[in-house]
Amino acid sequence: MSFMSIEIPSPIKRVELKREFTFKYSICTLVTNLEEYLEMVKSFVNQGFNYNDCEFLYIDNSKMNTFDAFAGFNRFLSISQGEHIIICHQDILLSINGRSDLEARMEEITKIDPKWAILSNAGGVNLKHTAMHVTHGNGEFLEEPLLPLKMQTVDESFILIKSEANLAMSSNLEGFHLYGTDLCLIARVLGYNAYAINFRFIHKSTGNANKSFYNIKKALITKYQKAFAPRFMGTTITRFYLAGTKCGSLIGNSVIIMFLARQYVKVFFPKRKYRV
Amino acid sequence: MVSSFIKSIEQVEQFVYDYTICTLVTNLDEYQEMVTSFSDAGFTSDRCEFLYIDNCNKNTFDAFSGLNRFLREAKGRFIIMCHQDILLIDDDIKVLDERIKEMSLLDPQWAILGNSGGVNIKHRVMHITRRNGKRELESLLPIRVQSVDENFIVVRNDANLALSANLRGFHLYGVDLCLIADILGFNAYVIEFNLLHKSDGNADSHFYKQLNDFKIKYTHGLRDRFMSTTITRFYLSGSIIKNFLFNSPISLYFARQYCKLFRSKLKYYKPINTKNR
Repeated sequence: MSFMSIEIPSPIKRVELKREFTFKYSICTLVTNLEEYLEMVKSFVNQGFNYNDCEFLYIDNSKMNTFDAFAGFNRFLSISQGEHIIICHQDILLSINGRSDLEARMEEITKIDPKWAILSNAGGVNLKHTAMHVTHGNGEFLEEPLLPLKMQTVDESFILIKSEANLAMSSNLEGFHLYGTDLCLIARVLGYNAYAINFRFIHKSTGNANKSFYNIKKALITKYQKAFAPRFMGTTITRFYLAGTKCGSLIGNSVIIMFLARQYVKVFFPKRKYRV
Repeated sequence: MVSSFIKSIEQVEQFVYDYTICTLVTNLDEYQEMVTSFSDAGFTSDRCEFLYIDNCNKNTFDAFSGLNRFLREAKGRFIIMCHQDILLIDDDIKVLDERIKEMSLLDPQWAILGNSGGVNIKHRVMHITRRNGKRELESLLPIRVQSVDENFIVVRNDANLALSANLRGFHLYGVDLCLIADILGFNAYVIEFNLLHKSDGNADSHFYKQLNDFKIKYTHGLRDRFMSTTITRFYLSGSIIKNFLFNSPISLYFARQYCKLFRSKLKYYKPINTKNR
């Protein structure tokens, strides 16, 4: 029987293997200074990011903060129609490398690691090492010779995200710092990687760690304390234990521990406690 | 004056549809029956779009990659991901509208609703009609759950949820979705929305293989880690004690010295292989 021969409500759409995107790039910015933003947009257009296949999305925070960074970038990630999403500060200028350089870097990274989801020019490699590949507003050039580098976190001045990775930012964090770190953590949990690449531009400011930065850092540690907590899980057909260590996972999934945990939950966590 | 190709984002998010109903299809006749039952229950084209992946001849997508595509492509405010073998025989779109409205008042951080799921390691809830007509109706609803059954899942589109990219297969994606939602700061619930599910689910050898992969993936995903950014360093753990101990200056100092000696930057360098060029 032909599928379309019977009258069924439209629109019914078949999802094809290859995804079509409306734009090649969505360039997303939180804006507090419209003049500076337009200067940034102009520098992007001059480097090949033109309106034929790019969309520029912005959130106007010039009069008041309509969105913080976590909520704002979540909106950008949700509504952008580009194959690649660039999240960047309003105070950067693409006056050194351009679109062709960026595309060459993406092609290289895809060959090295098809599971990349985030690219940037700076970030944290591990507890000891950071990488910076940027020209500051005063002309100072910080060069990283070892690129591309696999990163733990990326700096927020310029982040390129692969749209198909479906990344998101935490809904229980707010503010204007450490959203690059949060994005990288979510990407790692989903199974993706982040890299610093050889893509240089001018970043007029150097970043600052004020009181709100340390408040967000504390909130991030507290948030992930809950998010990464080991847990017993129940589904409709099985039960198991998830832990961030092999040893914890082995012990928690043993028959005796599962039995004792079930008895504990039976006594202290009846179903009615979960009703809202 | 801002150019026309630059778009300002408004505070209220607009969606083309109220619901996007997404299904992996292996039997088009059965899918048609499902779509007709949705249509009869008020899920019509003025408010809904139907998306499907055709796995009839071969598996073009597994559940994780397929549902990830649905989550990205859906234009509805709410995304329903359901099996092809369900029929809306009882509750309709008005009931679902009402349940969603109730949930938004009870918990604005809800992101996932289902009709069955695991509450904790001891308790599970089922609110469903079986193929033989047996109705398993739960009295304590809505109830917060750890996982939802995959036969019928409603996801809030604005929660930006995703499924793991490093898991494959056709089982446990409901649990994965709930875990990702939990990590992002959202909650999952089972609600009072009864439907007919023709199959009872099965835990075959593929299921247990996937369960093992699932545990391995989350052992890595939930692991403790020292983190660094361009301006700060810290330790993340699921344990309050380890967070306290390893965020102390002395622990961070020794961990830094360890990285200095044994984890040089070169180890993270991914040179471009000339053969790849």
